[in-house]
Amino acid sequence: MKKHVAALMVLFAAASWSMLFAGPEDDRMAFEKYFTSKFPETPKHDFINGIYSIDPPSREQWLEIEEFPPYELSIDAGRSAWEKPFANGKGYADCFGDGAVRGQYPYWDSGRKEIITMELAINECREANGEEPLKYGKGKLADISAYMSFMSRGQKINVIIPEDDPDALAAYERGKQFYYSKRGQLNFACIDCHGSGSGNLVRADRLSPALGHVSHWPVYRSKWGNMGTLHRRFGGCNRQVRAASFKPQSPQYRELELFLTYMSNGLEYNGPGARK
Amino acid sequence: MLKRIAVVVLLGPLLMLAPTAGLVANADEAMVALGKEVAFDRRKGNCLSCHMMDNGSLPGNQGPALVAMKARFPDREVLRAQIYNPLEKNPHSIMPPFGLHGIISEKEVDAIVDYLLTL
Amino acid sequence: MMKKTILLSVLALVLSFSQVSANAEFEAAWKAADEKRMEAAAVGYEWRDTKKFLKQAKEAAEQGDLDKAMKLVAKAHEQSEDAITQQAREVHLWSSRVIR
Ligand code: HEC
Ligand code: HEC
Repeated sequence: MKKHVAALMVLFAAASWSMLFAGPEDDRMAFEKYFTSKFPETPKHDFINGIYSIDPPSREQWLEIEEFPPYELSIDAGRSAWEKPFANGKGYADCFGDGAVRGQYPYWDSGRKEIITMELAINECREANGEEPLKYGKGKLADISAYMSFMSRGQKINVIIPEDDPDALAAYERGKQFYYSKRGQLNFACIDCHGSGSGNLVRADRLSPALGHVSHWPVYRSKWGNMGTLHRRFGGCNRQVRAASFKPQSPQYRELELFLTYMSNGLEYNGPGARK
Repeated sequence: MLKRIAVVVLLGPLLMLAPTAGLVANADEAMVALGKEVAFDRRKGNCLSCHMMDNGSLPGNQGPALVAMKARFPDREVLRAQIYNPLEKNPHSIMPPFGLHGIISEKEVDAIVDYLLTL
Repeated sequence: MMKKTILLSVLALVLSFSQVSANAEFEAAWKAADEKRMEAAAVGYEWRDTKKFLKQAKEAAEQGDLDKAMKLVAKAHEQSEDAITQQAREVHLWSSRVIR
């Protein structure tokens, strides 16, 4: 009898442990399944096209736009900047080879105990070579990022949370908590609009599913009239629910990027992109 | 004489009531009009972004259509609570807590309730 | 004549005292509201418009409209209190929203 109780207790503990601490991979599989079941018409690989993966009418317009992509100028500007040597004679290539490195970011740096995004790495490359860091969010940095993303098209999203580093898991968990927490005067969580709300109409606009949200940055957005990074978009989505936004490349947004990118592991990078 | 007094006594209150009743009706109308304005204003209620209501154009579809309100909400307070703080009923609701978070004023909450009850 | 002057200057003094104390009251309320805002920010929950209201309050006070200034301060203070309550609520709620 005692033995049975003990065995049961062990079993119960194990079950509740795994329920409480579903790992990132369990999270990702459930996340992916949620969206592929919610939008059975959409092939999994197509979620990288955001709202256009679930809304045929707007997809038509977008395909037309893609014939003369509005982000092309930005890729060109990025290429010129890439080819122009720094004052010390070196260049971006000394940091990033041919620039096709999108698939390596974001990653957890166990030595530094922080998340390194591609935009952060671009500025660190500049500073290591005696150049001023660029302003995050848009402008020149977005151009370099557009060029590198273009060079990296087709690479797989593959974020790794090192299992032997509890700090990495903690950073991932904070990003996850951010995504699922309501904030702002209007009291919305990201998941309210891009999970349960995805596909719904807000006035004339449909809400895009979160799966694939990170694949195509930086983006030329008609509403902005220029290029913006993923963190610029995070800021916009925070402010539209009347929450104060965080700075691009703040720890909060890097954690959010880590979590959200992990959720899209296995999909392809297809940046830069164009959106309404 | 007595008759006259009786008439005055009887009619007096009635005469006094008449103008106030008019005032009340006006106040009600004003509240209903205010309620509609606040409900449709994108920077205030913006109810249309989620609810079909009152033939408003381009309604969203995240919440149920707001129709037959009086029949469905016989208790005014229940309706008011849904506008003031929908989290009370459902802490995960995506409907903003208009009163609780001061998105609109107490008076505007009341006005919206008055307006909804005409739908 | 003499009496009148004294009376007037006493009046002016009283008025300026009440002005000073109203200003001091505003400054204190503003500071308390800004501290609340930072408290909300420290838990990651500052709202978008709170800082703007505090700025507008300062401007109104500078233009001598203390009534408007105090109203804006009160609004900012309330926002930050609501934001802090919201954070406390969400700490318990967010995990039941996770897609599993
Ligand atoms: C009130 C609803 C709402 C909330 C809450 C919200 N968003 Fe958005 N988001 C939108 C809308 C509308 C768009 C533009 C249309 C679309 O792609 O869905 C958008 C677009 C995006 C995009 C770009 C999609 C693409 O394909 O380029 C990303 C990424 C994004 N949101 C992330 C977030 C994150 C992260 C949060 C939480 C911090 C969040 N959103 C919260 C409404 C919302
Ligand atoms: C972001 C979306 C959203 C907005 C904006 C919104 N609501 Fe709602 N509303 C909902 C949802 C979703 C429900 C379903 C119940 C729930 O989840 O709280 C709802 C429920 C209701 C109900 C109860 C309806 C019923 O049939 O039980 C009423 C009444 C209501 N809303 C009124 C309003 C009014 C008035 C406004 C504008 C001041 C408004 N809502 C704004 C999403 C919204």
